[in-house]
This record gives sequence, structure tokens and C-alpha cells, in this order.
Amino acid sequence: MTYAKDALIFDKSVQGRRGVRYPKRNFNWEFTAPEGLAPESAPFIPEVSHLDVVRHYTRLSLRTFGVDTGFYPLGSCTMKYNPRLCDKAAGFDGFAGVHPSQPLITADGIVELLAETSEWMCETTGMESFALQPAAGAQGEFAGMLTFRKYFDHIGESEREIMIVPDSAHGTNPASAAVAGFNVVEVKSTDEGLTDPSAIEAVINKYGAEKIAGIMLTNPNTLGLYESHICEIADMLHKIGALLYYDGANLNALLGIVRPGDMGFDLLHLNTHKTFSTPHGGGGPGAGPIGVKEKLAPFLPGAVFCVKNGKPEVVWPEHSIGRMKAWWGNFLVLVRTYAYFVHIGARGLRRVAENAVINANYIQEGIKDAFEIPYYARCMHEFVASAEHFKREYGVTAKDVDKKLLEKGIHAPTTYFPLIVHEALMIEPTDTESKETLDHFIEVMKGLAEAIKSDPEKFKKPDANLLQVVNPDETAAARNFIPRWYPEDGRQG
Amino acid sequence: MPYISNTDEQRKSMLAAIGIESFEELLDSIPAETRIDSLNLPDGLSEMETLAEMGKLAAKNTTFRAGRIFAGGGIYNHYIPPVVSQLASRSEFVTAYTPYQSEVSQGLLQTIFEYQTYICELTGLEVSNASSYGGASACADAVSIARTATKRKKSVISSNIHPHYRETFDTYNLGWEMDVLDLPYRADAGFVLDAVEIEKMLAGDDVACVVVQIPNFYGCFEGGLSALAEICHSHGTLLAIGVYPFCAGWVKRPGDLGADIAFGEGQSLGIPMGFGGPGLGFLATKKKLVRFLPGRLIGKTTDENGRNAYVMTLQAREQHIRRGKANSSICTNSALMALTATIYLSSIGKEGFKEVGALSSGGAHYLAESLCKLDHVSLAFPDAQFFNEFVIKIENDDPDRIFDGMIEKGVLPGIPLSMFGGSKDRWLVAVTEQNTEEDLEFYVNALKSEVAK
Repeated sequence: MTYAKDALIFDKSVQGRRGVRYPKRNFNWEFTAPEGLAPESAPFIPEVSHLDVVRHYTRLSLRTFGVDTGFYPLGSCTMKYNPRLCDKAAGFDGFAGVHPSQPLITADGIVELLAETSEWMCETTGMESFALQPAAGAQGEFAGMLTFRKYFDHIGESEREIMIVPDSAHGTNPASAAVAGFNVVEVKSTDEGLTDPSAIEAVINKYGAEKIAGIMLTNPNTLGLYESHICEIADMLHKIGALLYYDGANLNALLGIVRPGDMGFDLLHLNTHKTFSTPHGGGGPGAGPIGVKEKLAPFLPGAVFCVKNGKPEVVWPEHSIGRMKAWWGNFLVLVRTYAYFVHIGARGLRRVAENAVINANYIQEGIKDAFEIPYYARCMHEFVASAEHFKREYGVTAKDVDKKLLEKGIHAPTTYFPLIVHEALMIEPTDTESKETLDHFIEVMKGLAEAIKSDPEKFKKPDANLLQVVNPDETAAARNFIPRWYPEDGRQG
Repeated sequence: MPYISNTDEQRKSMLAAIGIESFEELLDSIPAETRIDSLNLPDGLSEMETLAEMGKLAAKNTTFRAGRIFAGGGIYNHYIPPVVSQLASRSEFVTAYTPYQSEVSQGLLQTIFEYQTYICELTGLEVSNASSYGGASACADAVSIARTATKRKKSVISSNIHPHYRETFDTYNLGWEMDVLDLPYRADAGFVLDAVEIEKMLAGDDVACVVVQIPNFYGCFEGGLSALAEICHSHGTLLAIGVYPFCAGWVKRPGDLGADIAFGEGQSLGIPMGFGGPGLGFLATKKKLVRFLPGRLIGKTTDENGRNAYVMTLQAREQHIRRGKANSSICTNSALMALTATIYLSSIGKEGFKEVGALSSGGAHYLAESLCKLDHVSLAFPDAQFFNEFVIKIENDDPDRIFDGMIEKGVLPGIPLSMFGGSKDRWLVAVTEQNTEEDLEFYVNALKSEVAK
């Protein structure tokens, strides 16, 4: 019997084949299901050998593009090199082998590590207290929004229900605010691509100052531009008693240069898998710690680890919103973050930001004659090019450009985001890429622009030999959703 | 500086290409008064020094021999075959992100499709998401699904689910403001659901969902579960059941019991305890609820040449499309942990999966029976059946001293329920295949001598 090259592990099952062998023990015990719970069917788990498993998943890994495979300029995702020493540290038995219920006196090193991590985060961001429990950026945002809510309830201003979000914001921002019970009001960006103080003023006037809870901003914003009016915006909102939320997705640009806390933000989340180089893991796990100014500290979620009088300490905030997760948070992700801090140090953090910014500007200058850049200016860690002119003249879209990059062994930029740029190609090279890689990318992008002009029809045709699949039928995938493998006997579940 | 590739020479030429002389010129848009000169933090250490520093911190924590850990509460000390950790460390998987570009991500997408299949098999439900943050958020999401699908503002939650799950739900609920009622149990019979009272509670047809856990937080199988779905469904209420994955095959799965939603913590599927995180939240539903299911979904389709292809699908549910109208903001989830669980299940296979369950459950019953023979030690819920976790009661003036004594002897003997607001003379004790006969004997003798002190 043979099976198809792209067979699933379930297709490879052969009755009687064994994987891991477990010990034989005689406990003289036969499990009898409680009344009404006796099973009529068992889950299907395939019977495969170790070698089957190793070949299967090794092959699948080779069909997966990671930072380790090639250049990955996925905007707003900060796909930089993930240091192996951080992974190694996270694997130490003194971290990985500790049960979360262990009395904290048996986990001194963990408490110290988490307290120090909070200290590093406070100093890096200009905040005064950190909660490390949220599991990822979006959960941090959600926790942050609930923190705002609890704070307003506490001071008797529960009627503040409007959360202002710029139209360039990550989708998680309005979603987090809405799930936390706020009404989201979007504001338009200026022609320069910045948040418009007068648009915020208009919202305040329209809904009434006492109704405004705050604003969620990313700075640099998703166009890669620094919000130079930020202090003015902060004053305007603080004056009416509202709060400022900082989305840390783009913090890589600012490390050691300027701190959200100093810009007037009251609360922020960090994405450790972006800024502090913990692996993205194909979509997590991340960690989304949130940091606050003192007045919001009593409302933070979960346990707060901090250093008091030189000693690590665990504090449960007095008016905490509660927990976001079972136990303490994504600890092994935070171990990697701390190792990264210790290894690169204060000056290293600054060098990260400098190189992230230089690399982005270098690419922008390199491709600006080939691709339109609608909000062209000196950028921070990323910028947004557009394929709109190619679409208009040649019918070639940003998606077509993506596919050509993939054929050439480069991961596509973030495409069709931010929404305010048509046919957007959001490019973030990160700090760890070399000039040689950037030069290659620039050459490729210029070549693509030429190729579009010389033969747009050919350009639109992906090369089946260079891609794993070509134009997968996404409409069919949604319309006739096949969510899992089914056995050939037609049994469903 | 580690990890920065560009030399000073290259930096200079790059600045020149940008048309500037110094880096500072790139910061013109940042008002000078908000900038800082430096961070008040130490300078970096070399690789060797960093690892030594991390090693020192790791060494400050007490670790127990694999067989001497008897703590569970959602995080279990199951054996992790090296093949699992090694394959899950393949750097292409580790350093990829969400598979936005299916043309170069078929491997990752296929692993998630396999994961979704496994979760459907373990829960008996039809659709699984690509993973959630953890068991607690998956539980909150389960209620959220019911809330948005039924448009009802009440939920009934068992007080015997994991207390952290309940607390997490309460946090999420700050934004939802649902009324929450306790699931009624029969006063005369421990963990037996009170069908009459439940019926009354649901009679108004205004309850979005009922949430229970199998086994419950105390390790017990509750009575009356098989009738629960019918009561719920007759009032348009959805049933959400939390599960411990290894119970599949030994007792009915949530889907077999008529549940609409299943959730749980998947850490036990090959993921280290890691002080509780990262773990893996799993969340599965009936197909009809898929529109309300948060998180990524992978679907199977074909490409233009007829090849099988896997893609992210039904994205219209998600935050990046729905923005302010989304039901959840989840974006990054626990993909690498889902991959780990997938490789784990494939590695242990059908027989291994059964053996882990049999060894864990067998060891737990052996231990429970042996402990009951000791003076001043008894089962807290002697009438309830359990799988691999149970609560013991210790009659002593100072149970904490006994707990500490066990730790002194190198045994993590369980979790005192005082950690969850319960009493300190009750410990939640979990057994896995890593606890050998000798370890179980050691536990019994250690406790015997501590109690006798």
C-alpha cells in the first residue's frame, strides 16, 4: 500500500503499529464508567511508528516558511531573529519542570525572574507597574480595556463609554474595546497619515467630554509614522478625564529613544513575540503584559511581580479586574523575554530601535521609485507601499506582488492593511536583517515593478513549480467548510 | 551588540543612501522634549554569562523527581517523549507566524488541520478552532459563543469547574455583564445534578448556556450528566462541557453527551508544566455554531491544479474584519502548543493514548485506596467516582506542616484546596503514568510518617 504524498497522519495509520511504549504495571484496577457515562465510541488516534511521525512532521516543517527560512518583512509583526539561547534557558528544568501550584517559597528564582522582568518593562516603557498574566497582545488589550472600565467604575464615572480608535488601528483594538463593553468611535487620519487632534476634538464635542473613556493608539502608527501630536492629544484627553491606551505592537522602533509613559500614555500592552523576540510559533504562544501608571495599578489583572526594597515580591492588586488566565501567565515565554533583556542590555535595546528604523528607511528609499508610497515621509520601523497604480494601469494587485515575492523565497509583507491605504504592502524589515538581505529585497522589488510593466498578464500567473499551492479556492473553503479529516468509512466524529 | 548584522561601515553607507548623515535625523518627528538619552538598566552580558545567570535563577527553584509530583489542577505531569519536543522545535515551525500566505505554509496549515481533527475526536464535536490561549479563556469563550448565538444574558455555571476558569470568566464578564447562576446539585447526594431545580432555572427560556466540567475540579464524575443536554435543549439553552483529554474513550465525550460546546486545557498533551504556561486552550462546537466560534479556523480546499490545499477560512468572524463588531479580539493563539499536542498524540498513538489513561487512572485508584488505609486520612468525596485525580482529607491540627514535610521528603503531594479558598486539610491529588508503584508507595509511607509526627 502506498499513500499520497500529502497524506495526513490519520491516513498513515496501520492497525497494530506502535509509537511510544509505556511500562506495564499491575494495579488490579479496571476502570468502569459511571452510570450513564459508558462510552459507545472511542476517539480515533492513528497507529503509526516513530519514524512515520518523524518523517511526517519533518516534511511539514519543510513546507513552512519561518524567519529561519528567509526574509520575512511582515509589517507590524516584527519578524526578527529569535535567539536560541532564550529557548535554551526556557528549557531548563528549574523553569519548565515547575508545577504552578508549588508554594512560592519553592520558586524563588521564578518570582525573582518575573519581578525583574517587570522592572525592565517599566523602565523600557516609562510605566510604573506591570501585570504579566495576559497570554498575548490581544488579550493584553482586552485586559487593558477592562482595567479602564474598572477604574472608571471605581471613581464613579461609569458613563464613560466611548473609546476612540483611529481608522489606521489594528483590528484587535476596536474588537478588544467592544468586547470590554465600550462603544467604538473611529476617527479619520489626516492627509499626512497621522491621528488628527481636531477629529478627536469633534468626537469629544459630539458625545460630550464626560462620555469619553479614552483613545487607543499605536505609535509609531501602522503607517510607520511617529504621531508627532501625541503630547497634544494626551493633554486634550487628560484634561477631560479620559485615558490613553498604547498598543505596543510597534514598540520596536522606540526602544531606548522615547517611552510611551513619557508621551502621556496611561496603559500599554507589549507583544513579547514582537519586540522582545520570543518566537512567533506559527501564531503563538505569545505574552501580552500590560503596564500602567500608578493610578491604574490597583486594577491590574492577576498577580503583580515587582521589586520592593530590593526584594522580589508578589502583590495582588486591591481592585483587580481579576485573572485573565489560570495560574500565572505564559511563564516560559517570559523566561525568553528576560533572557533577551539580560543578554542585549540597555544599550542593546537602543541599538535594536536604531537598526529597525534605519533598515526600514533604507528599503523605503530603495524602492520608492518602483512602488508608490502614499504617505511618504521619514518612517520609523516600517512603511506602507501601495500597488494601487499597478492595479489601475495593469490590473496587478498587491496580492499578485505577494505571490511573486513568495516565488522568490521572500515572505510577503502584510497586505491590504492598514485599511486606509489601497493595495497596501506593509513592510517591516526589523533590526536583525543585514544590508545584503535588504539590498536583495530592493533588487527583487524593483525587478517586480519592471516585470509588471513589461508583461502584466504573465505577472498575474503564479508559478506552480515554485509554490506549494496555486490560487487555493478560498470561496469553496468557506462555502463548503471542511474542518477536519474524516475516515473513509464516512463516520463523522 | 548581538543579533545586529550591520557593521558601523554599513550603517554609514545606509544612512548616506537615505540621504542623511546621522541617525538622529530620522527622529525629527519625535519632539525632543519627550526623548530619553538612555535607559537606567544594566548593560548586556555575553551568551555564556546570560546562560549562567539564567541557570542560577533556575537553580533557585525546587524541582521534584518526575515520579514524585502529584499536583494537577489542570496542569499535569505527563511524560513527554523526546520525539515530541524535538519535532516541535523544528525552527521553521517555531519562527513562522500565522499562516497568512498559504502558498508557503501548507505544512503549518496541515498540522493545524490535523490538530482540529484530534480535538474533534477527543471531544466528539464537529468543529475545533486552531487553539485558544488556555483552558480558562476557552471556558470564557464557550460562554461567549452561547451568549452571541442565543442573544441571552444569563448563564448557569457549575461551582465545581476549575476556580481559575470561573475567575477568568468573571473577568471577561465585566465587559459582557451577564447574570450568572450556580448550577444546582442535589443536597443529599454530593455531586449529583438536581434535574428538577435545573429545569426550574431554565424554565424562563432566557439562559444562554449551562457549563460543567468532566471530571469536575475535584476529580469527580458528577451524576445526572447524561440527562443534562436534553433539559438544556428543551429550553433553547446550550450545553458547554469542559474535559480532561485523556478521559476520551473511558467515558462519553462531550459530543456524545449532547454538548454543543466543549473546552479544556491541553497542556497534558506533551507540553511542559512550565509554571502553568504556555499551555493550550481547546475549543470545539457543533457545526451550526461555527459562526460564533472565536479564533482561527483552517479548512481544506483545492488549488487551481486540483491539489489539496489548506487555508485559513471563515475569517469574516474575526477581529481584523469585524473590528468593533467582533465577538472576540483573539489573534495570536497557541499555535506551537497545538502543534506540540498534535505531534504528541501522533507519537503515542492509539495504544499509548489508552495506556496513559489506564496507568494514570490505575495509579490514582491504587494510591487513593492505600491512603484510605492510613489513620487520619480519608477521601473527601468517597461516594464519587474519579479518573486520575481525587481529594484527600487529613485530620490534623496543622495540615500545612504535613504538606511542608512531604515537600521536605521530595514529594509534591498535591494542591491544598486553601489555594482556592477551600480548606487546608484537603489536598487535590493527581496521578499520571510518571508515578511508578515505588513512587506511590513512597507517597503513602511519607504521608504516614508525617501524619504520625
